Formats: sequence, C-alpha cells, structure tokens
Amino acid sequence: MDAFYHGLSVPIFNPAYLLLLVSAGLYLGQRSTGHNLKLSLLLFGTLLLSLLLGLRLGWGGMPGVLLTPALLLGLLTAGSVALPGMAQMLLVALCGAALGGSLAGEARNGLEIPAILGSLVGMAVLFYYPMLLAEWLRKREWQRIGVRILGSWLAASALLTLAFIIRSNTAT
Amino acid sequence: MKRMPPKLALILLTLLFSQSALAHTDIAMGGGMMNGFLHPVSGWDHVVAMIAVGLWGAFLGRPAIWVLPITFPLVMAFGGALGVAGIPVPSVELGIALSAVVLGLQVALASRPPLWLAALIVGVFAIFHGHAHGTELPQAASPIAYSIGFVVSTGLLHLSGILFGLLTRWPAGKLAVQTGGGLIALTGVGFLTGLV
Repeated sequence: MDAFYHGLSVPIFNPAYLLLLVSAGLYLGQRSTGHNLKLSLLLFGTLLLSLLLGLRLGWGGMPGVLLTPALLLGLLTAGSVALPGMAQMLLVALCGAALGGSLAGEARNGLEIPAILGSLVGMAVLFYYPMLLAEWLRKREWQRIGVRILGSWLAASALLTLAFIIRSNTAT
Repeated sequence: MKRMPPKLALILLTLLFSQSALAHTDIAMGGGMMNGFLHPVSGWDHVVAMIAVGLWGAFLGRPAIWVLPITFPLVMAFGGALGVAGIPVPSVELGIALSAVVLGLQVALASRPPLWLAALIVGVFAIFHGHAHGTELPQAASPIAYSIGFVVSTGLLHLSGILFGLLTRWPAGKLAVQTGGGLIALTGVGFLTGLV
C-alpha cells in the first residue's frame, strides 16, 4: 500500500501535473459539450498509450512538456474560448501524451507498478474533480466568472514557471 | 472593575512574545508556495495597486469586474517572465509607483473609460509589477509551487479590492470606495516622492 500511496502523491504534490490536470478538467467542464466522458476517455487512453511507449522507449519527464499545454488550456479557460471539436480532441490527446510520457519518466526513476496505479488514480482525481466542479459551476454568471479567473491563475502560474525553467536551462 | 489575576496576565504577556512553530520548513512545495504567496503582500507598493485593480473593476461593474482581475495576473506573468529572462523594462519602480497613483485616481474620480482602455491601463502597469517580481525572485526551491503561491496571492488581493468595491451599490459605500481610491493615489504619491 505504501507504494500505491507514494504513487498517488506524485501528481498531487508535483505542481506541473496538478496545473495541467486541473486546467484540462476546468476547460472541459466549462465547455460541457456533452462529450466530456468521451474526451476524458481519450485523455486517459492516450495517457496509458504514452506511458507504455515511454516505458518501452525510455522517455524522461520534462516539466515544460506539461506546462505548455497547461498554459494553453488556462488561457482558453480564462477566455472561455470554444475550440472546434477536432482541435479539442487533438489538444486532449496531446495532454494525455504529455502526462503519460512524464509519468514514464517518473517510473524510470523508481516507481513500481502499484505506484504507477496510484499515480493514475491521483491523476483521475485531479482531472475529474475540477471537471465536475466546472460543470456544476455553470449555472450562475459569477460561478462561470470564478472558473475563468481560476483559468487565468493557472495560465499565469504555468507561464511564470516556464520562464523559470527556460532560465535555469539556459544558465546551465 | 474586576482585575485580571497576575498569573493570567503574565501568561498573556508571554504569548505576545512567543514565535510561531514552523514545522516542515524544508519541504520544497510547501516552502516554495508559502514564499511565493508572501512575496506580493510583502511590499505596500504592490499591495495597494492590486487592491486598486479590484476596486476599479468592481466600480466599473460587469464585465470589467472580471476582465481586469483576469488581465492583470496574465500580463503580470508575462512581465514576470521578462524579468526572469533578464529582459530589461525601463523605469520599473516609477511605473509601479505611478500605477498606485493612476489606478487610485481612476477610482477616486469615478472614471469610466471604455473597457479596452481600462484593460490596457491595467495591463501596462501589470508588466511593471510582474517584471519587478520576476527580477527579485529568489532561486525558489520549487519554482512551480512558488509561482502558484505568487499568482494566488495576487488574485486574492484583487478579490479583496473587489469585495470592498462591491460597497458601491450603496451611496455611502460609493463614497467610501472613492475615498479608498483617493488614499491609494495619495500612497502612490508617497512612493513617487519617497515619503512612504
């Protein structure tokens, strides 16, 4: 059980995962197109595929890979911008691939199978809760505004962090 | 009048001098987030400007009440990124002091420019604030946690301004908000002249 809980804590206490999962959840919940279940299955499908490929090919995790789509999704949520269906699917698939690839990188650093399962559960929680919350918060205008403000905070956090990472990469 | 027992008075007195127990200070995420959270509130020049943004947004009503607080953190993050990258922005401190004057005056004078102009004014000043934070940022243990704390803190300062600004629904409240704007502008003048 220790390994499971250790894995569970990976996305929860690693803010790069948290930013991407929460912004993806909020974005889909905000739109609530009626296809959110399918889109969430696409997210976790590509996540699993990318995880398996990453484990097989030995990919490493890079925070920038998670933060770039988090920035984009945060901006889309803040602007309440509706993407065309195909672009939305592509973006969701890219998020899943980024998450899976990064998790593969974590697994290479010593995560065991129960820990990976724990991480997947953690990711599901971090994605579905904000999605359902944003769906629930669509009834009143101030609630929708609250979701947009959260989106702007997520985008701003992702942008600042990307700047940090770029600076530290160029400094080394 | 009933007097307080001396022992109780002594205990209360010692409580005044006690320090908080800071457990887990070496945990990267908690420490990083707390450092980031405290950074915007540790300088009065930033605090008054952030509150002024919320006040002005509330004063202007919909949609400015949410457009301005959404614009500010996003543009501030852009300014922060410029600062982190070491790209210079001229007269940053002057811009920050002016932000308090200009934004405070907008509230005090009940100014109602078009939304695009209000967002532009807020956005320009957000770059100065963000740049100052970006260049001052320490090598945070966890930059992501630091950034989240930093942005959330800024957002909560806007919210404080918005909540106070909601008083404009009542005539006396409108006067209180305009007075608040005037005080912010005066504080800005204090920053400009070096009195504050």
